[in-house]
Amino acid sequence: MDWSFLAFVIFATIAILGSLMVILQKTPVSSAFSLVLVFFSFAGLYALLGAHFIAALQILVYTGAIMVLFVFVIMLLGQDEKTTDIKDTSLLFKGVTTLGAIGLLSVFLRAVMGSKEIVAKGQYSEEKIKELGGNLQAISEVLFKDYVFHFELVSFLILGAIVATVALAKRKNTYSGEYHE
Amino acid sequence: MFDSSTITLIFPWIILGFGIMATMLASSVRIETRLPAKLLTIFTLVLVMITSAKLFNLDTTITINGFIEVSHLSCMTLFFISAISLIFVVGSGGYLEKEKLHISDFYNLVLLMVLGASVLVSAKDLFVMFIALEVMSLPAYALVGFRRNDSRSNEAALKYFILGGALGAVYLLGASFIFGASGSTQLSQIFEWSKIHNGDVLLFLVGHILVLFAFLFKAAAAPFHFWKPDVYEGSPVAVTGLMATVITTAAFVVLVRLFHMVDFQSQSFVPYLESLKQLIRVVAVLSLVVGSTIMILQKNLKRLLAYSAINHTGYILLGLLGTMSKPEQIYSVWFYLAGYAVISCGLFLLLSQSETRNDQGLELVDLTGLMKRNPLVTALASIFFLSMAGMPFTVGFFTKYTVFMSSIASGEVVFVIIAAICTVIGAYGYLRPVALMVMRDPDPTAAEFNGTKSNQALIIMLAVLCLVLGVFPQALIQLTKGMELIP
Repeated sequence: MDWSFLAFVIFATIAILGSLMVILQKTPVSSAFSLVLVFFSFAGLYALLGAHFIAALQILVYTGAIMVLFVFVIMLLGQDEKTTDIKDTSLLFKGVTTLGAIGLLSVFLRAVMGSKEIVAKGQYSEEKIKELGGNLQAISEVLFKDYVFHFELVSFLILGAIVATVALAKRKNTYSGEYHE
Repeated sequence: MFDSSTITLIFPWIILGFGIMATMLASSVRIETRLPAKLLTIFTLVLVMITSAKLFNLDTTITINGFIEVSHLSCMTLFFISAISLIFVVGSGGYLEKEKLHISDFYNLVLLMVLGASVLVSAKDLFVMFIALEVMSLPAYALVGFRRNDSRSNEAALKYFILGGALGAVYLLGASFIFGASGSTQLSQIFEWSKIHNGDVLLFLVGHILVLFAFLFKAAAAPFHFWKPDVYEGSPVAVTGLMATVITTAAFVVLVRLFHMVDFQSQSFVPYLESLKQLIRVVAVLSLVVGSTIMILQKNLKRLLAYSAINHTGYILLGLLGTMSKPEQIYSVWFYLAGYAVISCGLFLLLSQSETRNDQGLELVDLTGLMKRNPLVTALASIFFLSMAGMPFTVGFFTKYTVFMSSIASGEVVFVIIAAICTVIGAYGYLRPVALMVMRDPDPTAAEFNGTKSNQALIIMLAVLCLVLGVFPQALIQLTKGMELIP
């Protein structure tokens, strides 16, 4: 057996189990930490595919920054004694959603299995990345040359998010000069 | 990379980008002064209109790097979107003042939304589409929740945000399936792939349906319509108007592009076409029936207009169904969108002038006996309501007529009959407010309509446009016939 295949199976299993734990855990903090597990195994999968830079980014950005944000929000909102429990929902709701999810999963599986080959290869083969001088060079090449329009558009997306947040979260209603809670 | 000739072609978007930054700077100087932000927004939108008209005159059809299309279709919709937003920006100042919402962030967010919508209508790449969709949606979520002291507004914004975010994820999943099946995210390359591909297309079909779901949600077609009434009711009237026009137009342009993503003439896509048609038939009939029947039960005017929007979505989908086998019929969809946007622009501007006694938004009873107190507003409102219903001599008649004709031409007679029945049911819903205004005696608790003279002139202009297009629709039809789809 191939070692990389074995590693894939291990990472994929951890990812699936971790995401199941995210939705089955009773307290938000444990859910958040299960999510860390999922992010780590994703980083492993990226590394297996040869995308070491993306794997490092995954750990830095997701497990580092975004998880801190998650935990921070949970802390700020305060944790009530009563936690959400999957047992509280009605049996009919649980049944319908489970059946729907299984149906969707089977359609997706059938679709992926049915296609004889996944043609999506991309132009950056391992040799080409070596030739360019590594992952980082290849990514910058794509990001700032071919996809520069996307890049600029994303900066406007972030700008929009900032303006929207400020407009909604501003404490004082600047128009009337009165304070509103 | 971009060379100088490409820069000329993406000029409208560059102007919008600079306009957004300039508006931000202007609003950061002194937050109480709104005039610079408003003037800069108007200036930016006018410039965008001029440049897109210039690009339209160039007669070019080019796809820059495979991402952004500059063609008659994209330039015309860009012009149209900026014109509609300009009308709202000019006309809604008084309303914002009245609602104590008049801060310069409003103009900033509107410009950002217009940027998203304008990239969306010319996107030819699944990545660009996704980013543009988010650029358009994020400011829209904030604008919906702009009345921060109103719990309905907060609820609407949160609902819209969560559902929109979830559907964005659905879009990404679908896009990844399409990429896996076809090997490209560019629509032109996917089209080429579909020509030569033979074999199983299930993976592609699943992806295709998932990306369509995301935009059917934005266009509020029937199984995905649950957010619409709440969001319409909760958001400020000016924002509701922008959503009904700008977001609907952008969503439908993308929907049409996505539907025609593959070459249906190709051998392995013939059964595929049938299953896609089946999907649109179900969605269109559901939207028509749900929209028209629930509309006549509504008491709140904005909820009524939300269900009316769902009903109109059904008609546009019917027109889309007609284009599946006859792509040259696509002009019926553009014509419908243009007509509907003109009508709703006028109607929402008119509603933004109302002053109700209580703070619960405009109810139908608030219009009681308006005829005796304010004949001008009654006449204008009647024109818009009757246009929505599709009365002859208004633009609403010809939009419905062209859509019906294009579906009959491709053999969808049963669905045209269903749509005609729904039109009759819907007409009752639109005639109810008109009857209340004209036939009842004035009610002292009813709403007042007092807007500025310039706003009145703007609304009268739109009403006249409704009537003129209802008698001479040829010019607009000719214009829309030039807006061809290019694979």
